[in-house]
Amino acid sequence: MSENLEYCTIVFDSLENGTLIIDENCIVWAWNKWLEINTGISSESIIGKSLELFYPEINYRGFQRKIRTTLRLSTPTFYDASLSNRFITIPRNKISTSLLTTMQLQVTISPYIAEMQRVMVSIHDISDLHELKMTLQQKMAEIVHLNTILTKDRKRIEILSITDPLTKLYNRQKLNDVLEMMLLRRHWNEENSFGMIITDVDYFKKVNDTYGHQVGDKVLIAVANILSQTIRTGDILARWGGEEFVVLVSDVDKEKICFVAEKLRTAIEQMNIPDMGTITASFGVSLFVEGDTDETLMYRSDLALYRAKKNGRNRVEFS
Amino acid sequence: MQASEFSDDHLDILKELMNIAMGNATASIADLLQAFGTMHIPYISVSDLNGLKSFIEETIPNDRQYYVTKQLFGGMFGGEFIFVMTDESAVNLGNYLYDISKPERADILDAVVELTNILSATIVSRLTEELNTKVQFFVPSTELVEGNNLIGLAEILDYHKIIIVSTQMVFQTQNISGYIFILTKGEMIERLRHLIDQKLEELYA
Amino acid sequence: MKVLVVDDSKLARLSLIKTLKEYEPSAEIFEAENGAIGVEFFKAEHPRVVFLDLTMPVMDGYEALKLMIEIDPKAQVVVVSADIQTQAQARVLSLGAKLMVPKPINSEKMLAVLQQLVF
Ligand SMILES: [Mg+2]
Repeated sequence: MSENLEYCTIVFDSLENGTLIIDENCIVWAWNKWLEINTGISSESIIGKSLELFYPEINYRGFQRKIRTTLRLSTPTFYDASLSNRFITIPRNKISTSLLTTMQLQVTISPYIAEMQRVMVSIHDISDLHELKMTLQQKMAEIVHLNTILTKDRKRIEILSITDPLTKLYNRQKLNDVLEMMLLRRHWNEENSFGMIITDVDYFKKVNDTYGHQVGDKVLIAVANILSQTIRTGDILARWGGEEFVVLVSDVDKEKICFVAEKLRTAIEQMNIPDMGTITASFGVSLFVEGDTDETLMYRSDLALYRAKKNGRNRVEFS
Repeated sequence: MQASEFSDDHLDILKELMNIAMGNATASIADLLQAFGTMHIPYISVSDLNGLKSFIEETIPNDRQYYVTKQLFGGMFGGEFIFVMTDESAVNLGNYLYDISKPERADILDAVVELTNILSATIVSRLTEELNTKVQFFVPSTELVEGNNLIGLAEILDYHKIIIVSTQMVFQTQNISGYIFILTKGEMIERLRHLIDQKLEELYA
Repeated sequence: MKVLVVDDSKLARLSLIKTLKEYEPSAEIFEAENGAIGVEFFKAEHPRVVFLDLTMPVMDGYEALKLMIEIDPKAQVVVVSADIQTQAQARVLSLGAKLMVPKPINSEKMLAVLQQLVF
């Protein structure tokens, strides 16, 4: 029996956490070595006395209620383990720099000897965990911040990769992608008719030579703007390269697509470009026919454009 | 019947056990608050994570702040006990338990933990006692949540199949009420089914 | 002897009936799954004893108890409930219940109940 008791004392004092035994009136009955070391209060000085003498700042009404709950339900009860400590204050004695100056505690009250109305309070120092959590939260915030920047950048790059830098229209790459999509869609649904308009600014080389590249660029931008204002929403407009533009028009027959091209031609013709005057453009139009690939469709449009140029420019030809 | 399926008998017995457990809990809380609580019929269902989400969305109004306390328990039968209280209820509770008109955040948190402690201890202990088994409780944690998006926070809820046991605690005069969820999953569902099977055998013997 | 058992849980009824039959094997038993059905049976069958749950859908035990006592002030209603609050007990007894027993019912509790009833 006495040997057993000795073991108990050894175990009690070797515990890597603070352990005390206390009754409903907050009289301390045991105070282990961990507590002696970390609080500076010896067990001789505290045993038999009220905890309140040493720690007057605790809410004793709440503490006593927890003790009663523990005893009555014979189940452990806990303190909330958030940053605001509700139990005794223990300084942190770690040499290394730290965010917390007092220990963050996890406090569990367990039934001890119910007949004597005593409970065991065990205290775990979870400061390291809390610091880790705080650091982690900080890092997480940084990651979230970096991520938003990255997302923005990615969006910008995505837009850049499909845009012609001068006219802000879709570039050739994007047009090819869309064309491929439309051909595929045509495969699934034969109702999806569409056509292609290629337009080339007439005598553009002369504009460049006479007025300089800056004016040439202005002309291209003006053409791009008037084209995008004139086409229907949903139709695809891209700069194919140089002074050549392509429009993909869906749900049309020969008559309709030629009408669209004619509208575009008139719009360009009527445009007045500052420092320069007026320009014209030639148009080649073709419709998708069974068995077309991007190449054959493009070929027929180019052929029509060639014919428009040959037949006097500033006109629409269909092929 | 599939191994993890629950029959009407299983659900009936679980509901009745939950009723008994809730009765004990209500009495304990009534004792603490010196008040009279209304008992509600518990809701029991076997669901998945999406089912749980929509159940919570239907049960808990989205336009408020909630103190959400989660406590794990384990043993032959284990799971998670979740207690959800409106901001208003929690303040009233903090008011009542700490006898201050404007309780601080820390007072409220501690009051909520205290209440949850009593609830989980009585409900789960009684439930498991009826099932002839014992459980151990882990440290609860409370957080203040905006709206009813409770599951977004529960990283641990990678549950495929969940048993939802849900009920309400209402102390009208004190204006304190809360929602109670007990979730269990995976192997624990099997064990629970097994425990209920034993109970059923006793009954039909 | 006619006995009415009112409880929304089928297995709670089953377990109660099982313990009752240990002492009263010949009892003629009527089962109801809520207060409203319970009151109907009560009117039609005039049972000697009613075992009544409190927490039930449609009509709870308080309401059913009130109606049964109105119909027959000498009815022997035993409330069997999970609600063990002292206030619940007080309320039930003031409404005219003969006894209140906490759930779950077992043989010992059943014996104690039967000893206090008049047959
Ligand atoms: Mg019921």
